[in-house]
Amino acid sequence: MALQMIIPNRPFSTEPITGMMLPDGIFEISLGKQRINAHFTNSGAAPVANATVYIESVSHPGIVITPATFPLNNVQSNVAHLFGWDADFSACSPGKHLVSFIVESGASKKRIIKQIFVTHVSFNTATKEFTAVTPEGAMTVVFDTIFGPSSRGCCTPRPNSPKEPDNSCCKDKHQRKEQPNVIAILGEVAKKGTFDRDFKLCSPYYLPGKLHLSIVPTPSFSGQFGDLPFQDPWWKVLIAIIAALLALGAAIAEAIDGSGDLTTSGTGTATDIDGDGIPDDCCDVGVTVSGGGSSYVAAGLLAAAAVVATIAAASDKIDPVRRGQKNTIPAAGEITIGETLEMSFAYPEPVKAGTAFVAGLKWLYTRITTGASYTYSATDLNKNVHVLTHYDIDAPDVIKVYKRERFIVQASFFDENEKILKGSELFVQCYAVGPNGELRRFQLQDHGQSDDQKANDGIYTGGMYFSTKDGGLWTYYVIAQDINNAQPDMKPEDAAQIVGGMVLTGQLTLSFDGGTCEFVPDGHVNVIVPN
Amino acid sequence: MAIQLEIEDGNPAWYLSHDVWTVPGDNPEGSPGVPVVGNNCYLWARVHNNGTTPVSNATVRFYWANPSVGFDRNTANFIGTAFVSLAASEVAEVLCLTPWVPVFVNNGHECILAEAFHPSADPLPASPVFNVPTDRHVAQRNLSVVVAANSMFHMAFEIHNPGRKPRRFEVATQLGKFEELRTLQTVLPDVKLPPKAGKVEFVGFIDKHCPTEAEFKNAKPVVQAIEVAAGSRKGMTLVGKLEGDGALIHVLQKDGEQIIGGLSVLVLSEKAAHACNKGE
Repeated sequence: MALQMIIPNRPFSTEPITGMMLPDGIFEISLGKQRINAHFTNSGAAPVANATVYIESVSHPGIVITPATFPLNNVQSNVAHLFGWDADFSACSPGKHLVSFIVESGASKKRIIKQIFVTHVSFNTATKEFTAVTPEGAMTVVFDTIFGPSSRGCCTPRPNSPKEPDNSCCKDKHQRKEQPNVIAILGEVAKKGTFDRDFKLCSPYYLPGKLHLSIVPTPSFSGQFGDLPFQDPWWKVLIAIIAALLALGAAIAEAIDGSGDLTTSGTGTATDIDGDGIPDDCCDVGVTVSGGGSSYVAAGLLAAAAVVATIAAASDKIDPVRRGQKNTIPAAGEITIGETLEMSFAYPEPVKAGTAFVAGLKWLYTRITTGASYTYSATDLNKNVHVLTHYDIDAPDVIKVYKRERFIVQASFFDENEKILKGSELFVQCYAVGPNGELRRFQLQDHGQSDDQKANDGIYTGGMYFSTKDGGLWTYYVIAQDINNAQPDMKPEDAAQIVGGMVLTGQLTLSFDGGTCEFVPDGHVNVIVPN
Repeated sequence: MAIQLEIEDGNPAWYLSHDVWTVPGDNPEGSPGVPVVGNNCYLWARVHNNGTTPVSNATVRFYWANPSVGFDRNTANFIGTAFVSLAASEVAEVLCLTPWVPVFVNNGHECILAEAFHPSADPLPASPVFNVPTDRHVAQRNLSVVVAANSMFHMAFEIHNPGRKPRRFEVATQLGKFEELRTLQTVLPDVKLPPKAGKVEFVGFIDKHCPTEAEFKNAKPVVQAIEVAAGSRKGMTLVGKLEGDGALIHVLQKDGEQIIGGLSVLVLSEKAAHACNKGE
């Protein structure tokens, strides 16, 4: 009997620095090494026993796979199992590429070919332009302002900090680079793949403020509408990717040598965050975290906040580029050769992933054709639609290493209608941060195997063992991201409305009344080791 | 006998492997067929683990080369990589998902090659030379289909010397039988063999890329002591006259008595080629 295994959703990327899914699961060349993750589901009625799964091949020779074959035992009907393969995308080109996966059980074999999306973001240090390249066109973004803490990174005083100015994270604080390339720095850190226990978060940038965006379509198009990137997501998803790389890259660049500053003005001084005309003061994440482990988690959540805020402000239903196209009709015979967008973000409410916070966007779209230019503008207030009503975590408070006790974490997540989320609907990880800055990470699954007691009950479970060197109080964070479940046969405009990779758990709140940002772990565990 | 990976050679012509094939078009899982210049084409290989030990994550590499004899890993064109995990005695068809787009050189005739190995458990010999007939890891399919115009046919090919010193080779023609291609029918279903083999005359080699018909009569069926400089290649053209619907001709590259390279040319009359295209 033929194997009835499927991969229900598009395989997604996780970046190597924080391990989080990139916006919409899109792979990014500048990061080089990433992980290709895919859920495998048995769509048949009969269980699949003693199977193995591996990546057979990829359609672009610039994607270098680290081969691995995983056992897949006793796969029950409609149960999803998540697997990931390391791959280096450094030599890849942007585009839609294919990955073939093999599931084998006895004499039965199933080949599953899935599409992945790959983009390439670069940063021009002279013009401070970010450019994201896709087959459908290149999008350039220049940030005029980015909202961040008043401390402006670690090389300047923190006026709201109870302590003295904290310059300790700048290893070379007196030699600030004039033209840092945050994307290149991010790529280097990703390539090294080493974890720095001394990493201190002192990011200068949190959320997009004002930006100028231009799109050069490939090719120029006639008629009203151009192609969507990859024929799937809205262009705004690329802004979200840039925002995530910026938040993460600036945090790391700032920590390395204080070179995370890259707005066009070099200052990013705008402080009217909520758009009411009165200066605000962004809270500071840096002073609330300690140790490398927490800093990495916080950096990941900061990047996630930038993504969620961008996506929320620009609306999942239809993004400003598409709305601009809808409201500017070129004359007969004209060819659209470029599009620009001036975007001004405002955050009237604290930004907290997983909640229905409101984000504002004032924007001006311009269509440039061979004959004329057409504009359309709007001011919107949109709610974040990637929300949970609540989530529950269950984990032990104490682990006795000498008794070989396993640290098992269970988590359940409830959507806006209180429906429990299950199986391949989420990507869930636990980050455990040790007393000496250690960071451990493991996945939680709902497949009814290993630590997970029952499949598809919505209780995602994962675990790890501590060692005798791990004594002390550990802090943990359980971070869930939603999955893009758009199908290849959907119309691009329908598929674009489904955005995945949004963080749903609100450990970090970016508020705008000064002080420190709320950065709340999901729990603590006291690890007891033999004396 | 631990892990023993193999892609089977052709028999009797080792350069006509039935374990390497192409799927033209945009569907990598489509039907096997002849590559089309300028269009996507996917390569497949049938990999055997003849050992008694299972193998995980064996590597399969795919290459193409211009119609030539004697190419190696440095001179062949790398297409892509695939991986396969096999139980003992298991056989698997492995897809290279990186598409190959045949280019318009040599009228689109190209050779394909695949090799299967495990870097530590069953490595390749430490040499860039493929050694197809002696190395079980590697197999090639070196078949070109040529249509005779007004009974005359010609096909350019290259003689490679991948070595670091000049070498002398001999090239020779050998008439083949259609039966040798029967095993390829499953992987080349769109190549219809005529019911009866024809006859060929004036089969041999000419040291020109586009010889005139008048020069065909000067063709030599065996050319000895062809000197090829180190790391370079030399072009030759196979020519001949076909009487009847088709013929199979092998071109052998010899170093002394040892056959070190080979390619096969299926010559079809215009009538037979037309029938082939119509699927008759």
